[in-house]
Amino acid sequence: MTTQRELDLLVDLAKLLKKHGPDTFESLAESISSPEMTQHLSRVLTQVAKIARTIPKTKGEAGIKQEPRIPKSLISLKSAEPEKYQLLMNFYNDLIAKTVLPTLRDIKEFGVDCGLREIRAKSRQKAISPLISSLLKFPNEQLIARIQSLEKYDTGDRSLEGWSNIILNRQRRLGEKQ
Amino acid sequence: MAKKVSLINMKGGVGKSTLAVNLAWHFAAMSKWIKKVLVVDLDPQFNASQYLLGVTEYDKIIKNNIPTIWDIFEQFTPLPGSPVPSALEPTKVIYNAKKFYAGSCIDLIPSRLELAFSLRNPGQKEQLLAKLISKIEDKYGLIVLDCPPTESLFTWAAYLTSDYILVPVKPEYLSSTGVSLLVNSMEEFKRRYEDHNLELAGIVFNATTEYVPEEITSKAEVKKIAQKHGWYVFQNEVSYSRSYPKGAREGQPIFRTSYSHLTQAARFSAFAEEFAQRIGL
Repeated sequence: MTTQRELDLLVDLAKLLKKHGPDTFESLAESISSPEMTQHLSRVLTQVAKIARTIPKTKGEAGIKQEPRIPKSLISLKSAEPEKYQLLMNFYNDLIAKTVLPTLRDIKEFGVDCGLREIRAKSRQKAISPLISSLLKFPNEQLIARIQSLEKYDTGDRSLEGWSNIILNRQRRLGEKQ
Repeated sequence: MAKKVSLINMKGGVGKSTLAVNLAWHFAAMSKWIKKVLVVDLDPQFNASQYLLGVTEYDKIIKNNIPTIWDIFEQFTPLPGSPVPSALEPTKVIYNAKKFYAGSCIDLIPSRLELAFSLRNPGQKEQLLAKLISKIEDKYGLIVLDCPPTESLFTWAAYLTSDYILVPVKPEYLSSTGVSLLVNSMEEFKRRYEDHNLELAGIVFNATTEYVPEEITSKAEVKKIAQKHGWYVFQNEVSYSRSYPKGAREGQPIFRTSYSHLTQAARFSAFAEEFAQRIGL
C-alpha cells in the first residue's frame, strides 16, 4: 500500500523526469537497489544534514521573520528597576504575539493617547521598539494603569463546535429534568 | 444619562445583532467617542453574547450560574424550597465583555436559551428590565438592546427601557414587510403607555449591495412608506461585506476584522456618526 507521503515523493520525482531523462532514472534505480549503495547514501546524507545544522543562519535568510530589537534602554532597566522592566517586557511580548494593539494604527493611537511623540514607523513591527522606548519615561503606576487597561486580543475559543456543545449539553440536561 | 436604543425588526436575519455589537464597539473604542456602552442581549438565540464573549467566557457564565437576562425576568418568580425572592442587584447581571485603554468599555447583560421559557408565563414581567436599567444607566453613555424578531414580552420590555428604536432593514421583500409589523406594534405600545417617550430613530438599510433589482425595488418601497408616515430613513447604508460574518467569528468589529476593506469600515463609521447625530449622542 502506498502512503500519501510516498505518493507526494513519486509526483516530485515524476516532475524531475523531464529534467534528467528516463535513462538516468533507470540507471540510478539500478545503482541504489544494491545494499552497499544504500548504506553509502545514508552515511553521506546524514553527514550533509549534520553540517547543515551547524551553519549559522544569516540575517537575510528568506522566510525567517526578524523580531523587533528589544531597546537597550529597556534591558538596562533589568537590575535598576526590575518591576518596570518586567512590566514592559511582558508588554513587549504581548506586542510581538499581537495579543495587544494588533495594528499599526492601534499602536499609533495608543501612543497619542499616552501623550507620546508621534510614532512615524511604517510597519507595526518597526513601531514596537520606539513605543517601548517612549514608555520608559512613565512612572510605574501610570504605566501599569495604561497597560492594564488595554484590551487584549485573545479572542479565545470561538469555534462552532464549542457553541454546539454548549447548546446541546443544555438541551440534554433539560431533557433529563423533564 | 445614557441614550437607550433598541434594535428591532419583526423579521429575522436582517443583521440586528451584528449591527448592535458593531455600534457598541464603534462608540466604545473610537477615540472620538470613548463611551461606556452596555449591550443588553434580549434574544434567546444569544447571538450578541456569542459575538462579544466567545465560547470560553460564555461557558463560564452558564457553568457558574452567573445571572443573565433570564434572571431579570424571573427574579420574582418563587421557586419551591427557596427563600422569598428579592430584587436582583444590577451589578450581578452585568458582565464586562471588553475594556479599552481610554477607560471605555463594552458591558453585556448576556442572554441564554432558557430566556424563551419566560414567554410561557409573561405576566407582569415587562417592566422589570426598565426598572433594573434605570438603576445603572448613569454609568453609561449608550445602552443598546438587541431584540428578538417576534412580538413578545421582550419587545415590550425593550420599548419600556428605550428612548429610541433603530430598525435595520435588509432590502428584500419579506424583510421590508417587517417594518410595518413593527410600527403597528409600536403604535399599540404607545396607546397603552401614553406617557412613555419612545421615538423611531430611523430605518437603516443593512447588507446592501446596490446591484440587485429586488434590492432597488425594496428600498424604493420602504422609502415611500417611510415618507408617508414621516419615518426617518438613514442616508448612510451599511453595505454587505463578508467581513461582518468574519468579524463575528473573530470576535472583532468591522474596523478590526482581519483584511476588512477600509471602505467598508468607513461606510459603517459614516452610518454610526449619522446615528449618533440623530439620537443626540
